[in-house]
This record gives sequence, C-alpha cells and structure tokens, in this order.
Amino acid sequence: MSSRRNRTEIIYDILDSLIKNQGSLKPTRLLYKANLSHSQMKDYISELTEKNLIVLTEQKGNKTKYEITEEGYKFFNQLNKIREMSDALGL
Amino acid sequence: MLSGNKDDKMSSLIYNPAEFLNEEIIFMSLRLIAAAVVAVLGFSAFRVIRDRKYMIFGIGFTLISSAFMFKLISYLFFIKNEVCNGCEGYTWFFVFYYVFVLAYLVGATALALLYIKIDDSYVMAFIGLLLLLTSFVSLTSFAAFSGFLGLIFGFVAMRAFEYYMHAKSRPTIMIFSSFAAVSLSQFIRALGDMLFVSSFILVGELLSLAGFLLLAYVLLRVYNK
Repeated sequence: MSSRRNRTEIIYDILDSLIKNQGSLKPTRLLYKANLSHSQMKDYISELTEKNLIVLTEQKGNKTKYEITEEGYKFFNQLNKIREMSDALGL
Repeated sequence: MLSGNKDDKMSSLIYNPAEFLNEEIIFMSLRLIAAAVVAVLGFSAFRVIRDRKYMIFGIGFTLISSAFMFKLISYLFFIKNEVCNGCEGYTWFFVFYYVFVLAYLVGATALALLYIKIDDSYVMAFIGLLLLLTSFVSLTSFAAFSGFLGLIFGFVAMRAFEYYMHAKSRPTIMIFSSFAAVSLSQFIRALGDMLFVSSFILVGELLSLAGFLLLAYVLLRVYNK
C-alpha cells in the first residue's frame, strides 16, 4: 500500500512529469500525470511559479502550458540527489 | 599497560595507551573531517527541502564532529603536561573531556531518534535525563561511555540493516556496514578499557575510523552521482 506523499514528493512528481514530457504540459495533463487534486494543483503551481521553477506559457490559439525553467531543472537535480541520500540512509 | 606518568586516575579511565596517542590524534582528526562532511551533506539537504529530519541529521553529525574536536583540544592539555591534580590544566582538560562525552552522546542519540520517530515530549525528556546520567557515569568509566555509544549505534545499524533487507541496494548495505563498524568499535573499545588490553583499544579506534570514513564516502558518492 502506498503512503501519502509529502510536500517534497509532490513537487518532485510535478517536475518529473514536466521533464518526462519534454519540459512542458497542459494544466489538465499535468494534473493527471502528477496525480494531483485541483486544490493541490493550485497551491503547488503558485508556489513553484513564485520560485520561478516553472512558468505558464501561452501557445497558439490561447492554449496554456506549464514549462519547467532552468532553475526548475537545477532544483530537480538537487531533489534527486537528496532522494538518493535519503534512500541510502533509509530516512 | 595504560599511560600512568601523569594523573594515574584520569589517564587510566580516559586515555588510550600512551604508545597510541599519536595514532589516536590522527584517527580522531580524520573522524572529525568525515563527520563534518556528513553534517554538511545533511544541512545541504535541509537547505533545499526544509525537512526537519535533515536538520536533525545535520545537527547530530555536527555534535559528533565537535565532540572529536573537543577531545583533540583536551589532548593538548595532556601533551603539554598540564594535567595534574590542582593544576588549572586539569580543570580545562576535564571541561573539554566532559563536553566531548556530552556532545558525542547527544549527537548519536539525535541520530537514533531519527529512526525511532518519537513525538512524545515525556519520552524525550526521559531520554534527555538518561543521557545526562550516562554522561556523569562516563566521567568515572570510559567503558560505560563506549558501551552506551555502542548500543546507540547498534540500534541505528539494526534499523539500517532492516532498510537494507527492504531495499537490497549497494549504498544501503554500505550504510549498514558503516554504522555496524562504529557500533562494534565501541564495544571493542569498552572491552579494551575493562580488560586493559591495549590492542583492543587500537582495533576499536581503527574500526571506528573505518566506519566514519565509509559513511562519508557513501553519502558523498550518492550525493554527487
């Protein structure tokens, strides 16, 4: 049985979903891929946008997409390292 | 035979055989660096994700690293021949030695608490009192101090082994080995202190160094992958 994800794990999943899809996703696809509720999506997206880890870009025909930034990639790499360390220690 | 040309009572309780003093200073310095590296990694993780467990991990290893530094400082008084009854050096030596004991015990316990996950403040207070009591007992028996540390690191090693059985990965077996080495080293040291066998003390110190170096190496490798 999988346990409830913590804040860091949710952020990791959001960034991971974006990276696995060439760095950008439509809001509804991101919601589905990162397994988020609507309210969670709202909270986390505003936090990640504020920290400049992701940006909202407008495509042709008024379609919007969330895109991971350079800082987002760097943060994701750091998260990966911490995950590896945490996995090794069993914390 | 333990060193006895200074204050016999103190040196027989606290110090390694005189012939290993230089070696222990080298081992202690290396352990200090290894523990500091692990502490820095813990704080780096905390800086990124603000998770309390990494802060506790960082604090635990900072305390352990500081403990080694305090013991090295206490050696200075010993080397400078300032440790004798009634000397000022004796008081300072005693203060630094006690800070070493307390910092090592609290640091190791912080690490163990990470694996126990206690939220009850009464249990925490009880553990705090137990630590204080152990630190006082440690002033009269180095074997008790080593034995208690051996138990704490043994508990951490046991949890690390459980995690290895679950994850079955190379880093997890290496982490288990490092904690197991530190735990075993403390028991060997305690035995050396009780039986007055100097080679046990040297083996214990070497094993402890190996454990700390292995821990720092594995975490650095994992973090810089």
